[in-house]
Amino acid sequence: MLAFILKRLGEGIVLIFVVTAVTFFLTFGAGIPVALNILGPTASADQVASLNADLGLDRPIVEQYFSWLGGVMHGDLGHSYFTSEAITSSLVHRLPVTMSVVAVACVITVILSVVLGVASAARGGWLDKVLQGIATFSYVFPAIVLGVVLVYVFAVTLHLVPAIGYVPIGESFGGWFGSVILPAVVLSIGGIASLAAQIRGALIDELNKDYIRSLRSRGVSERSILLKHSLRNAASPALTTFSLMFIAMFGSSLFVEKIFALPGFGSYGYTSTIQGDLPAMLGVSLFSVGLVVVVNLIVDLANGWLNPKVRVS
Amino acid sequence: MGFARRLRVGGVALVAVSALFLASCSDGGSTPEPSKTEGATTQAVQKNQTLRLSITTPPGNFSIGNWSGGDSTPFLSVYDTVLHMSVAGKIEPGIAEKWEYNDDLTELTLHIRSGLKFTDGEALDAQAVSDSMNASIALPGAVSHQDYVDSVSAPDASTVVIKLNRPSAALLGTLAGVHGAVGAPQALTSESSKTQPVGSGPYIMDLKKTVAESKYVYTRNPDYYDLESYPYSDLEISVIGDATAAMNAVQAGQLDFTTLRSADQLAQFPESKFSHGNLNPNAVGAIFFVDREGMVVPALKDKRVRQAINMAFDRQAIAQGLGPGTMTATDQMFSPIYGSAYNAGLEDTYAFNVEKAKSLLAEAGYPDGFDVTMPSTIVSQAFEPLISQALSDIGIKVNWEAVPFQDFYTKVFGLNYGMFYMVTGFSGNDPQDADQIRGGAFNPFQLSTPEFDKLLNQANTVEDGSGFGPVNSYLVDEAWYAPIVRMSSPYVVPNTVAFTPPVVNNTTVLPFAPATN
Repeated sequence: MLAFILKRLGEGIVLIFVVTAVTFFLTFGAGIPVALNILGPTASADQVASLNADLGLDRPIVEQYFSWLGGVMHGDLGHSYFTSEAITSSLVHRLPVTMSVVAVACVITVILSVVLGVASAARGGWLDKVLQGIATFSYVFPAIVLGVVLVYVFAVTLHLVPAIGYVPIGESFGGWFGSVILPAVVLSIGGIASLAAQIRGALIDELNKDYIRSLRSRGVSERSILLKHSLRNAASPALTTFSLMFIAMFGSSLFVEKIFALPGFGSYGYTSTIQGDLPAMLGVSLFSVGLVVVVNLIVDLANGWLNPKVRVS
Repeated sequence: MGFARRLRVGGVALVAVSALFLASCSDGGSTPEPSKTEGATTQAVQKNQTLRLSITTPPGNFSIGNWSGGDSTPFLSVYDTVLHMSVAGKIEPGIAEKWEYNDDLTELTLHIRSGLKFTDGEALDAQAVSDSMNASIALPGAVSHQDYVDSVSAPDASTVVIKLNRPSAALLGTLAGVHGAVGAPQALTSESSKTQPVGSGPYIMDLKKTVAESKYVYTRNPDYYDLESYPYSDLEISVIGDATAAMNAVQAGQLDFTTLRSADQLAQFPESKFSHGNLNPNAVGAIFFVDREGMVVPALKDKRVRQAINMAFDRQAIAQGLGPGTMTATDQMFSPIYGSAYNAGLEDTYAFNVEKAKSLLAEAGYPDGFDVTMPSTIVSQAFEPLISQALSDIGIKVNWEAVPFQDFYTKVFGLNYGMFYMVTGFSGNDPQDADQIRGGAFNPFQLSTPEFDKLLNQANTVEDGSGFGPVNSYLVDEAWYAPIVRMSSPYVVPNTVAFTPPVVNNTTVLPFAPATN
């Protein structure tokens, strides 16, 4: 197991290295006029040249890359060209915001998907049809519209939760939950449908297998058959879907962060890209790829725990 | 089936728990009741009230000389300036309590208030002012326009002398803005000043509560000499990039001010809870004819072509169609609410007249029009169909070239376009506006004429900046630009806040005060 983890981590580091290198040369090689963008339209050529020198942008691109890479090895991702804030510090402040929203969205997605999927598979009939209808509706309903509606109802009209902003969990748990619950609901709405469908389909397949019939003939309770035997076997493909969904949620966090004015990872990536803030863009790339590697590793391990047959591979 | 029943019960419980959680969070998002601000209550409110504002993009570098433009409220809340600009646009004493020019307006002497200190305890004297001004001039800052400054010196502890290589009526306005900001000498060149400013302004940045690029929190500077003008004890400036989110926040009681994209949105703010009005015009959208020598677009060398383009626009219809209540048709690049450059009589100079425009083009040798390439940016996109249609009607075909905004300046300075559509903001006085529209990216070919230079020099010899009328008349007559609309915005504040629309928006918190009724 340890060898497996080390192998996957090694592959992940190579992936991070390749992706960030490509990102670096694409962004730094794109010729974005960083100094001019910072100084504005009235800056003279001398001022632009001076700032380029201050930022180190007058050096050969390969030298700049190794300078950046050397910083990364020491935990220094550089400073924002526009705000002079340390990139590491900015990411550390922003990651908890996005992770909070995504984590709560995941909890909502898993609970509702399992409830809907299991109920549909177990009961069938009209309940299955109704739940599938709800799931399909949630899949096609534009999440951005849902976000606007939720803000209007729960924040603007009822004043139950804030319309904007993030409260750290250490400051107030209730405040934190209030600040992330609506964005999390918006983020989870599309995922619930697909994950519930995945669970339902896998569960129905499992319930029709021979070993289930054998269990029933031995008098094993339906609850045990459903939760202990069928659901565990059906969970493996659902887990893979869930891992992809988690990464997609992380990527989609931008639009909920815009709607709810959350100072998260997505809005940071968006702003830095619009500004051409190259160190910030690279920091976002580095963290994003790292996250994908870690999530994939966790899913592989979880799959191995759920299904011993996949451990060897 | 027992298990299915449990599922149902579980679902109901989940909903109930969620509802309880929502209810438990209600204190975080509740709207404060409008305060009664009469008599003694007013004083209490003024002592302990937070003003909550928003900005659309994070502020840039906080060190003196490096402010990169945009809303300067985060910057000018912590830094005091040499002079002040009142809400009405009047230049008033600031760090300098008096000032005077020499006879030929090439030397400005500033008399610094005594007893001032920075919030780190350093003395704020003439040398500190001189150091900051020299830093502002020397460092690559945005829109400095201070090429007329020869030197800044402090002959004694209370006097600063600014020597100019030519008179400039823009200087006083400049000293009242970000380029007149004064920072603590020990922090001027330190790395920390980029994120942890040390000034002497009305507020002190609370570094513990400030989260960079998200929320900037300030507390009152108790030693500030004009606390009466800053009645709020605390200031919070949140970065909110989405206009709808800002509107929601005002409705939910989390923000104290927002602008709206159209007057229609006012319906969402009941008068029982909110006050509203229109900001003063803050910008003009225009086509800039930067290639007036015809190097890239030969036709633009002819004044009649530029005038014809001006006549192609039905400005009234455009203003009504694109921004009812927020846009006003105009032929001029200057603001009508201050100074003397703006001339209402010039507004009919280029009335919409397609036939006359065609005739002018024919006289200039372009009876069939011509093709022109213009940059398509995020700023121009809403206007592009209108510009294409209007110019097509007189035979000019526009090819829009998509340009990411971060590449716009490079393309313009690369002399790729003879004309482009852009918006320029008003500065609060005519001299600074005149500097702005004839410099930088608005004049990449670096063109002028002897007549214009003469008019400009004459205007700059009028100390109070009231001599720019002839400059504006010349620009309109020569059609250096095709102004289309002046822009403004409706605004909304809760009834707990009194807001006075300033001549220049988004610079300080001076327009805000607790409501007194």
